[in-house]
Amino acid sequence: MENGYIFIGKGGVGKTTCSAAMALGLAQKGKTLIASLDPAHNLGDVYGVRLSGTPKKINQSLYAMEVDIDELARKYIERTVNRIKDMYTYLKVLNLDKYVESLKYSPGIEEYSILEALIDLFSANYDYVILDMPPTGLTVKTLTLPYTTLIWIEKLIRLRKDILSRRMTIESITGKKCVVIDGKEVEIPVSEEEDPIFRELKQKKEKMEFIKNFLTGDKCSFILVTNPEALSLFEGERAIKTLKNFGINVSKIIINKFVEHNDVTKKISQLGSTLKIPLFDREPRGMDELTKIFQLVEVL
Amino acid sequence: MIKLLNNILKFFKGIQEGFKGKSIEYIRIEERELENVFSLLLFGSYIGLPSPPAFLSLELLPYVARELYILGIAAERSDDPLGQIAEFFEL
Repeated sequence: MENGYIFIGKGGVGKTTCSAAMALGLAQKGKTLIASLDPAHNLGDVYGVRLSGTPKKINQSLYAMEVDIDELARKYIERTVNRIKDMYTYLKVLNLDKYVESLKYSPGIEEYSILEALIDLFSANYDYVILDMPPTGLTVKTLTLPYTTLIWIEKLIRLRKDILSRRMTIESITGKKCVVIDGKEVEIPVSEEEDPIFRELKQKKEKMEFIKNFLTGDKCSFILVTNPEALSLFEGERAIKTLKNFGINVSKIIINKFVEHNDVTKKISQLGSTLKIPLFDREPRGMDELTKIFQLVEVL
Repeated sequence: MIKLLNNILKFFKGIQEGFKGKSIEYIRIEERELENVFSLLLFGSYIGLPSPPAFLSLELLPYVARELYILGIAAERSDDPLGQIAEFFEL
């Protein structure tokens, strides 16, 4: 059953408003969670409440939260660094804390933190989960991360198998060997079961395959929000194409703040079936106005 | 007669051990090179090579003490490629 909705699109097109309206409507059917994964949150502004990293009850069955991606990245690095400290005991004399901050800015860490948050949110106990994603660039990088990571993992696993098979051959002739590292005698693992690197790679592969299958499966639906403006439409079209190359199907398109515009009408029709939300006299805020928008997006 | 046969047997066993030793040596060199490539792939970003996403290297870091050690040895040897070739040909 489809119970997850992921809203994507260029910054400022109205993803938050559309997703907030959708959440409000779905909450009438069951327990619903809406989470903003955009580093520049304004979900709380749309509902007119103050939100944090833990779900806040908005009404009888609607919960909302603004996920702090920076905090997640920091916690993730801290967890990993602590594991490193446990293994490399001699590093305890060094102060690794200052490295934690710089690692947070390593390429891929922010995307991975968002991806982990995405999976955690969908595993939570709600009937419906709605995600308001960051602007297109970061979202596309995040959603394609499992695919690029799997390519690397498969290469590393192949190489590791080659190494282990040679170690096994050598061991079968010369017997078990040990090496001394940092004064400690370390036994050389020769089989896939006893090699911790192989085991870790295999676990990572399973995790990435799970995320990939989840993103391409029928549990979640991708909704692109765009405006009737050339730049916004071009960016949306490119995002759809890129995600399609990775097996992710953006099935629904919302043209927000729609006004009849001659130069983009043709472009909009090329996108296929779209849902148009008209441009209102003033910005929709608060529950009543969001309910009006939900009546329009309900067909999705 | 038995002594002669034993000696012949020992002679052939010696040849067999010699071949075995040589073939292991080649597998060892191959294995060492594969380990170098593996370490380079994991930590290539430090020297500007394309590398896996940062989180993958980071999460493998607790298990790769030995690989880092090998990378260190390979880096030390890298200024002496002739020495490595000489070692290979047992010169």
